[in-house]
Amino acid sequence: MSPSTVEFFYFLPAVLLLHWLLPRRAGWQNATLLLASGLFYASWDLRLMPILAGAIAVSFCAGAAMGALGGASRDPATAAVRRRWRHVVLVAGITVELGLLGVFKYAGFFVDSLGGLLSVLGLQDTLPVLSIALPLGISYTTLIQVGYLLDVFWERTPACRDPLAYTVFVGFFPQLIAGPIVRSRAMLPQYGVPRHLSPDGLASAAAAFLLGFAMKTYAADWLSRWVVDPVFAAPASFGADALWIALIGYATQLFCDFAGYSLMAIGTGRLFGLELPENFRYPFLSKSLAEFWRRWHISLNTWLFDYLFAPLTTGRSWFRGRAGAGFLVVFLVSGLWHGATWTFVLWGLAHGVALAGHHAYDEWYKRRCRADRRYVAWRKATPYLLASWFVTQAFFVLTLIPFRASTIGGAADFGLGLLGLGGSSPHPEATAFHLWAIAAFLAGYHLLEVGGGPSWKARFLGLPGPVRGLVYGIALVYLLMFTPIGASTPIYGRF
Amino acid sequence: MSEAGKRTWGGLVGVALAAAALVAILDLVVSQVLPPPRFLEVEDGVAQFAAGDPTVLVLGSSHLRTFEHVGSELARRTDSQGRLVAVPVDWGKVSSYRWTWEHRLRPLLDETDASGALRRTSLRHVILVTQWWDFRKLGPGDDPLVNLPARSWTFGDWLADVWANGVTPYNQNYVLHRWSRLFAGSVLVQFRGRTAILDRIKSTFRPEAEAAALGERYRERLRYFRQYVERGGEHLFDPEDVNALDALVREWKGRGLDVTVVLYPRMRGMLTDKALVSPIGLFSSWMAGRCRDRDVRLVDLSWDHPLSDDDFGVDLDHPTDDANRRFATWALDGVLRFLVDGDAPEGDTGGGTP
Repeated sequence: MSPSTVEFFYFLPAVLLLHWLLPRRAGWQNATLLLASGLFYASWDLRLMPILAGAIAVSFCAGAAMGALGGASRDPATAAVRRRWRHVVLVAGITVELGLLGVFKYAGFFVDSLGGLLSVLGLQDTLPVLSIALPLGISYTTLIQVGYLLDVFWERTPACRDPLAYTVFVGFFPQLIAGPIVRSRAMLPQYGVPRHLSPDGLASAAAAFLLGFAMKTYAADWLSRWVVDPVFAAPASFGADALWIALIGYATQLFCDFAGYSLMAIGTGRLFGLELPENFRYPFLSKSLAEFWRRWHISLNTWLFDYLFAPLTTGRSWFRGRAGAGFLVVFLVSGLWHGATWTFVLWGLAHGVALAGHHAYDEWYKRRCRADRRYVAWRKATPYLLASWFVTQAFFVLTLIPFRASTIGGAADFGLGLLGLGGSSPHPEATAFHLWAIAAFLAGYHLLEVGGGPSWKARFLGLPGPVRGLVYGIALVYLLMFTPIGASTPIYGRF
Repeated sequence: MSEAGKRTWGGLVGVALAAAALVAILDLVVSQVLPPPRFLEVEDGVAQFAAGDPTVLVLGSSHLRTFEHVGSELARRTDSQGRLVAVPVDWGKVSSYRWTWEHRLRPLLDETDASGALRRTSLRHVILVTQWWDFRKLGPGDDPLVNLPARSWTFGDWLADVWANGVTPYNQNYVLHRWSRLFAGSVLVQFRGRTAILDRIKSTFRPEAEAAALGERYRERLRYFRQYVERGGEHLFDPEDVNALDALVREWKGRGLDVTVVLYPRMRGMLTDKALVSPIGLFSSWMAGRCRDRDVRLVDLSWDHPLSDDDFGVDLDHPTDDANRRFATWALDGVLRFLVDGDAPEGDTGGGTP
C-alpha cells in the first residue's frame, strides 16, 4: 500500500475517523498513529516489522541513556566519565543502526564487488550470492534515528522519554516509503502535544495531497510508461533524439514521482495536524548545483550537511576547512545511500566533483568581484543567469544516466547514443497531448514561484470558494480521465 | 492555501461541494453518451445462486457473460422451469473456478434449513466454460493480475491473504474490484485512466481521423494476439489447473450432476494456421480425451460456432451484446438444447477442431 494506491483511500479515512473521534490527547493520537503505521508497514511485509521495532528500541534506549548521562556535574572526574559513557552509547547506537542498514542494504553489494575483484585477480569466486529482503523504509528510518542520536549527544534536543511518541516519530506511515527524513527537533515536540485540525490545515493538507497525487499518478506514471521505460529498456537500439526525449522525460518523471510522493506525505501529515518538513522547493529554477541541492530532496541533503559535512569540515580531521573534499564525501555517501550499485557511486562521484569544482569557481569569482566590481554586475546579468541555469540543469539531467542505468556499461551505451553513436530507432509514439500537458503543468508549477507568479496564486486563492471548487472539480475530472487506477511504487521507495 | 488568509469550515464545505457537484454533473453528462459498463461479476452470480434454486450452473471466466443471454432465453423457452445462473470469474483459470466452487458455491448448495433439509435441490446441470488459456502455466512475464480468485473473495479471504503475504498486486485486485463496484454508476470511475472517453470525444469531433486511428489500433491488437495465441502452446496444461478440472468433474459427477464442458468460441481471424495446430487443436484433442475418459459431455465451439469476426468486440475476445443474443438462440436450438428438453444425452454433441 502506498498513498497513491486505491487501498490507501479506504485506509486513510478509517484512520482519520478513529484519530479525530478519540479524545484529543497526545497519547490517544499517537496510539492511533502507531496502530495505523503498524498496519501500513504490515501491508508491505509483516515479517520484517521486528527489525524496525528492534532498531527503534535500540535508538530510544540509547537516547534515553545519553539523556540520563547528560547534565552538569560538579565533579570533573564524574563529568569526564559520563562524557565517555555518552560517547560509548552514541557509538554503540549508531553502530547498531548503521549495521542493520549495512546488512540489509549493502551486504549483497559488497559480496558481489568482492567476488568481482577476486575474478579480476584471477581467483575463484566462491562467495555466496546474498539475496536479502530490504525492510520498508530502512534507508529513511536509519537516518532519522542516527540524526536523533547525534542531536541528543550534541544536546541539541532532549532525549525523548515517551516511547510511543518516539516510535511514531520514526515510523509515521506517510514518511515510511520515501521520506521526508524528519528531524527530532521539529517533530518530537509536535508528538508531545495534542493536535488540532483547523480549516487552514485541512485546506493546505488537501492541496498538498491532490497536487502530489496528480504529479505522481498522472505525470510521473504516464512519463514512465510511455516516454522513459521503453527507451531505457533497450537504449542501444534507439537514436539520439529518442534518447534525449527519454532522458529529459526521466528527469521530469523523477521529480514528479518523488516530489509528488513527498507532497502526499506532507498532506497526509497535515490531515493529522502534523507538519512534516518540506522536501522540494522548485528545483528546476536552480542556477547552481549548490542551489539545486538546497531545493531537491531537501530533507536528505540538509541531513547530510548537518551530520556529515559540517562535523567533517569543522572538526579536527584532515577535512577541516576542505569544503571540496567534504562535498566529495557527502555525495559519495549520498550515492551509496540511493543504492548499493556502482552506478550510484558514479553518480555521487560526479556530483561531488562538480560541487567541489563549483565551490572553487565560486571562491575564485568572489575574489574577482572584490577586485573588480564589474564581475558583480555580470553575475546578475540575464545571459550569465541563463547560462548558469542551463549548465546546472544540463548537468543534473546528464548525471541521471548512471542514476537510471542498471550497469556502468549500460550508462556508457546510453551516453554514446546521446552523441548519435547508438541505434537509429525513433522514439515509440507517445501521445503529444499528454507530453504538452505535463510540460505546461511543470512549467506552471515552477513559474508560479517567480516574478508575478505568487500574486496570480494569491488572486486565485482569493476567489470565492465555489469558483475555486469548480476549478478543482475540473482538475479531478481530468485526473479521473487520464490517471490509471493502478499507480506504481514510488521510485524513491526503492532507496 | 494559507496565503488567502483564515479559512472557515463553511468556506471549505463550499469549495468541496462545488467540486463534487461539477464532477457529478460531468459524470452524468458523459454517461449519457458513453454509459458505464455493467458487467455480470462473480458476486452477482453467487448472489443469484444464493437467492434462487437454479437448475443450471455455469462456471467460467468473463466469457460467461454470453450465458446471461442463454439464461434469459432458457427461462423464456421453459417458462422459467429452467433457471440458469452464470458465475464469471474474471481473468480466471480453472484453479480459480475450483476455488470459487469450493468456497462460494458448494457451501450454498450444501446449505440446509432449520429442519436439516437442503435449501437448494434443483441443480441438475453444470457447465464449465473454458479454453486453452485457462490451462496455461503463468510465467514471470505474465501480468500478476491474472488467474484471480481474488474477485471471488470475501473481505475475510482478502484479509487472510494480506496477513500472509502483505499487499500484493494479486490481492490488490480485490480492493480495486470493490472500489470499482462502489462507484459502479460512475462512468469516470469505470473508465478511469482508459482512453474510452477521450476516444468518444475525438470520434465526435474528428470522426474520420479517429476511425483511422482506431482501425490501426485494432490491426495492432490483432497482430499482438495472433502472436500471443501462437505462443500459447508452450506452457499448456498447468498441473494445478488439470488437477482442478479433475477435482471439479469428480465432485460434480459424484453429486449426480450432468456435467458439460464448453470450449468457448474463438475469433477465427485471430487463429493462424500455427495456432490451429497448437494451442487450439492440441487443447481440443486433449480435452476430448479427458471428457471421454470421465464420461463428460464436450461441446467444442473453439472453431465451429455461428459468430463472425465482426461479432467480437474491440478486445477481440468477447462477443458483442447482439452477438451474444444470437449465440444464445443458436446454442439452445442445437448444442445446448438438452437444457431445454430437460434430458441429458451423453456424448459429444457438436463442434470440433478444424
